[in-house]
Amino acid sequence: MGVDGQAAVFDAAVIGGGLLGCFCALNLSRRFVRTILLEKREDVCTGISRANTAVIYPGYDNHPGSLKTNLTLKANQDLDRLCRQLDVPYRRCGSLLVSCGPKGDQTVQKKYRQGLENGVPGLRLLSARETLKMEPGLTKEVTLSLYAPSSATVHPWEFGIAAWEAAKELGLDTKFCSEVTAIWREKDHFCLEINREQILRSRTVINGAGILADQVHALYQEPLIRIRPELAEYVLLEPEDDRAPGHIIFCETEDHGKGITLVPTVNGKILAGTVNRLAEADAPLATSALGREKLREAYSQIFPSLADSMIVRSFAGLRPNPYRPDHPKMRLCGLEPLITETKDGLISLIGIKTPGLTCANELGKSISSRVLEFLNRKDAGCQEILPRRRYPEYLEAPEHQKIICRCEQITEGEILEAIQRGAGTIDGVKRRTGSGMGLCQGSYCSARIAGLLADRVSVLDGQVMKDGRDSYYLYQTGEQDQV
Amino acid sequence: MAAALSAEKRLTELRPGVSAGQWITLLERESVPGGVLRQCIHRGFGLTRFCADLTGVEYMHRFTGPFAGSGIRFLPDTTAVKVCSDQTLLAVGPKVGHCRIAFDHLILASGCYERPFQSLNAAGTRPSGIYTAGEAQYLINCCHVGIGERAVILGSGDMGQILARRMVLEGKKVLAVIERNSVCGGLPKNRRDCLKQYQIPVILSSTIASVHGEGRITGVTVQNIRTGEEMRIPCDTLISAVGLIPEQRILKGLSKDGRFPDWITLCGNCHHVHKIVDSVTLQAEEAGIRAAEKISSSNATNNVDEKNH
Repeated sequence: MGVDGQAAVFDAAVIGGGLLGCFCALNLSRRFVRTILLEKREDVCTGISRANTAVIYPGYDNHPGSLKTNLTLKANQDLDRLCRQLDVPYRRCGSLLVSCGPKGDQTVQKKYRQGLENGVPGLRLLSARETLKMEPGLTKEVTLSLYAPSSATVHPWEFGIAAWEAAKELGLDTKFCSEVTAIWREKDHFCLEINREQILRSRTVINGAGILADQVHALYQEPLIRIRPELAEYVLLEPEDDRAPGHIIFCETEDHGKGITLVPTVNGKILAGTVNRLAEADAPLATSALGREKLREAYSQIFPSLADSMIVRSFAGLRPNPYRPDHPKMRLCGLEPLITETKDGLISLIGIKTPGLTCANELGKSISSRVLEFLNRKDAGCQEILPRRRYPEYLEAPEHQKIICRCEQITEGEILEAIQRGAGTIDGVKRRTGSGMGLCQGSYCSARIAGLLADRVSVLDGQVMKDGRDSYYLYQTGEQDQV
Repeated sequence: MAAALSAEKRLTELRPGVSAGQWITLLERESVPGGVLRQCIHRGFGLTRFCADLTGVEYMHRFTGPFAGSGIRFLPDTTAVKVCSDQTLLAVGPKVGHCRIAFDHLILASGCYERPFQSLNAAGTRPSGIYTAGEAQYLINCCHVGIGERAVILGSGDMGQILARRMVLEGKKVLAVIERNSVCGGLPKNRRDCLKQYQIPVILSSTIASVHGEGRITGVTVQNIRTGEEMRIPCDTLISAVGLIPEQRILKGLSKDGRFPDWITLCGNCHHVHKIVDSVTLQAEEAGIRAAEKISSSNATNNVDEKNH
């Protein structure tokens, strides 16, 4: 263990480069806090942030006055400005919460009242006829719906990556492939052991380790809230005709089960989710035949015109379900704090499920304020987010105007730019450009992108990886050199 | 290429004295012409057309030679991204930038794209090491890299069989070819030359139910679709050859009642999937001739008009 006596002490160390970590890092950097981001993987936004429902919520789901409600409302209002600053595409498509029976109607009405009380803008209850006029492809069994024009969608990873890039421009340090293995306190700062071999010092620690956030907190102190991971399955559809949903559709079911959500994504596909089941923290992100069948049944029922749409892919994501181990029924009771703090400045975000994507920036803001308090520092104002750095030498150079990904029409220049901006794997390029997300699922472009990657960077073991450790794009045993 | 060549030939016949090549532009997304034939290093091409058993690459060279000597305008690395209803198309490429090309007649010879494994109903993880047959073939034959050591192949059609043989010839192990139907697919010739000759096991009436592995693929679960019986096969590579889909996406929005306007001709595999390349060429040449006759009878002079935008 090499301990460098002269080692710099950071003001804040953010553990976890997911959405929350990236937005914490951005807000800290904007407020002149010297910050380092530690990420276990080779890229940001590879965990929970990679696979979720991609919805910016309007703010009628939580109780009036709760932290979640306040943050959601603020964040939703601020979305246009933030997306413009970060240069991230979004779709303010509005949402319909639909019900098909008396029980569902009750819930819809309850949410309507709650939404009015919360001050959600533009809410309207729509009759079956009005609903079908808005979404002709919906099932005719619809009885009532709640229209919220302020609902929106973004690609969560694009959002997080943009926040990370903006933070870098403001001086954020980042260490990839760095897992925090121990945390202890020394004098006025924390020591973070990284990969069991290196020590990093920081006055405060922000833990946004997602599905492992409770375990990271436990490295220092036993947290009040623990996480029970839940696996959520999704399918991505390529809509056949223009009768695909134009709004986000939430469903209230009659049997108290979880209704399906349909999202018209930024790049013109339909995301349908979720079917959930409990999982282990280190469980592989595996989909199941049953989950997919359930999803198909659910979306065909609520939106019959989608029944024949081609499934582009199915995938699974993890959700950090919070619970209290000391509670007799292992539940969270009442309004739990979203933010778990120790007295000396370890701030953990444990079990922020929905609306984590919506509130990421607002949470980042409030955490950066807390950090300033811990550092005993006056608020010195907030730096503007700089215009996103682009690389015209790739994007505009004629020689790079060759289309590599046919389905989504991504040029070589865009891919080279993504690599320049930090993509180190095939899926890293995908998350930055959208390559490989189309109907052919990368069967044409992967080899070409791998070639461009091999020419420039080699993040993991000097080889081209699909996504993360051991995901070799090409594979050979023995001692031959690999290409 | 075949359509362009036959169109040039016919135009020269109809309008002696004009340089017919000037009237024709060939857009190609790759740097060189040839398409998928460039990665087909196996034999079986040209039996009816040239009465010779050629490799795909040799077959292709029967056309690239005359093509190089022709006056046809060739735009390599140029992808047509959209065809518009006003008889123009948008193209992107290093030579042309983003440009709009107006034309009198369009021949689409864009072949197929492969149905990816991801669109099937397989459950499980999403590891690396899953390739479509075409992707695997490109990597092995054109990039000269090894993709894996122990492979399972899904789909016993011609593509699956040819890839199975290729893997064996590259010194790799093919653990099984998995086929959904109760009989093996593909041409009888391929069955004999690929699977039988190299004793590659075929598992019929089965499909891949799930995929295992978190980084690289570590195995697949094969399920018999009749009995439901499952069997796990450890492997480091999965090649899927589960179907070709005619590539007509750039024509999106142009068809009315399933028909395209009469200024568009589709030929080859983008029209329908052909069994052998000889019939692809035949259809392309007919399309070329028809287009030439049409252009010649209309009073078009120079039909290419480019606008940067």
